[in-house]
Amino acid sequence: MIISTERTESDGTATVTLEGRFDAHETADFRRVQDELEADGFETIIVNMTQVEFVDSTALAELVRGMKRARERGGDLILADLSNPVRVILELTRLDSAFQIV
Amino acid sequence: MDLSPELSSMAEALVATNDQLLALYDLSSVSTNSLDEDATVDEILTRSVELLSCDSILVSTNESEHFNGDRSTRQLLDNQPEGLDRSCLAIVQTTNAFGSEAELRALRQKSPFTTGDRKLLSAVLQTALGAIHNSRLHRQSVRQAIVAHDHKTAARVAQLVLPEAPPALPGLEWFARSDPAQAAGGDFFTYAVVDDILHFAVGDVSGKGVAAAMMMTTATTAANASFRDRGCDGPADRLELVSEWTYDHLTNANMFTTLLLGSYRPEDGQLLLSNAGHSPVYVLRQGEPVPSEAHVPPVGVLPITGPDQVECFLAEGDALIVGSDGMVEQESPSDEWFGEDRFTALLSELSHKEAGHIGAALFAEVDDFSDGRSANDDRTLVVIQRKTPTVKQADELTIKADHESLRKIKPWLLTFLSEVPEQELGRIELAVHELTNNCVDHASIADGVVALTGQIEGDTVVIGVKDSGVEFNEAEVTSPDPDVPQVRGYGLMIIEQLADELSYSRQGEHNLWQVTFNRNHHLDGS
Repeated sequence: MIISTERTESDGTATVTLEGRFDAHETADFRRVQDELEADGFETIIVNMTQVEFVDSTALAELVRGMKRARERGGDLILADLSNPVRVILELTRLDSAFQIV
Repeated sequence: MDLSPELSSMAEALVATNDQLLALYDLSSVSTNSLDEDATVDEILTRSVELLSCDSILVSTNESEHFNGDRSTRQLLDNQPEGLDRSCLAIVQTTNAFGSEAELRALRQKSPFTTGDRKLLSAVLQTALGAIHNSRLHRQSVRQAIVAHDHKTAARVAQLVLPEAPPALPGLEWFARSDPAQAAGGDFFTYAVVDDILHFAVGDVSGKGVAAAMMMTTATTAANASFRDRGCDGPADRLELVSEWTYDHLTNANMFTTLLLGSYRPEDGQLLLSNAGHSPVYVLRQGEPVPSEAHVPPVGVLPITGPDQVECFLAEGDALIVGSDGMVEQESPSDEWFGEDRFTALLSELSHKEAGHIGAALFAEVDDFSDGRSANDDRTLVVIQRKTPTVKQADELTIKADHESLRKIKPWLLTFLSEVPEQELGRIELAVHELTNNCVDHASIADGVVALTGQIEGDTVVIGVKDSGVEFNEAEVTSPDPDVPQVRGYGLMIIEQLADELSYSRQGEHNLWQVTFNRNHHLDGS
């Protein structure tokens, strides 16, 4: 999976764009990126998922963990531009109502 | 000679005529503003009372009365007492284009009505009648639209009882289609698979339209209930039962239904049929269409007791063809019937094709024959063909029990599921991935590997996942609460929603999971 990050210092928001497969093998990389952004003071992270081809329950759990952690710090983890596989798994687990999706 | 009195009189007449024209214009504008009868006629009469300085006006038709003006004068209009000055009373009568009579009575006690006033009152009556007529036409068209909408809804609901998906039973090819001639139809088919046997019914309720469609749902429900009746020992028993359940209902409605009940056992090709007046029914054996005759009259004609049933065994490729009379009685633009000869000739031609091809070709031929002429009757066709499922076995895949190795699942699935549509492959991949991931995460696998097997049998895909980990304990699994997002526990929830079956067994030192997908289901990827 390719992870790219774009930081907007003015409002403390960062956009993380994921590309390819987001599965159990990739969750460590995603967590590292979120840790770095939090350490640098970015409270709200927008995860752009338009180019995610596959997502599994472990990756989904990682997003839930990230969302909870961001909210505890007064921010949020927002999902943006969902691809079809992402939309399907969010609906199957009914987590589409737990996340803010834009 | 002094002409001034005549000029004065002419001027007055011109003014009066002009006033009347303006009054008419005023009235005509009222009638186009509303479609409510009472409101429109009241408005016309209010203006007329003002224009003509009347005490009151009463308009009566066969169905309604409209009064406007001084209520104390109503009695004078109704009774016209002897002392009433007749010049102060105007009565205008008319008969409209539909033969309905109408009358207007107007009272103006302070001055007699002139000829011009009476003409204007005649125009008032016509205007009021026009408004009443428009309003009634509008009400009627609204009622008709509601009835048409209700019919359409009833027809749509009735057609919903017909099954859409083919039976999930290996060993048969299935085609079924029913096209109602109108929005609602009386033809039906239904089926159920019970203990690996296909039970089916095809019928045609007499009559057309919503009444036939309603009775069709009753017959379909009765047939479905008979499939589940453990006391029945074959289609003949079921036919007797359906007759018993529906006879009074059909008789009271002055209707009947043809009905073919049957069962097909893929294991040995056994076909049992019991037929109450349904046709055409053919068994295509070795390429030859053999007619299957009715055993008893249609259900609802006479009580059916102890009907016969016929037994035969379908060989590979043999098929049962059940049509409805709308298939063979279709007329061409030159009034020629499609006919059973043409039907059976086509069956012979198509006998080596698959069920879906046979069905589609028969419909296409009947449609071509009609050449744009509307359907005479509902057209229904069911084809049940014996087809031994081909079994395709995939090479076993053994992967290391780690997350990175899960990436090998998709390429492996593609080695034997390459023809599966992408969306369906997506759901299979996700379910198998989740199942294998569960083994990797929770089973503490002793030899460090997970083995996957794959098999396609007809439309069914079965994937096995085997590991040497600790025994699965269902009691340790908790389903996630959908209202509380959590960081684990979604794997099994996802598999159960994507797969048609999921089973687990412990075999010696191994866990064996088996996940099954029926390819006719979930085609939307949901």
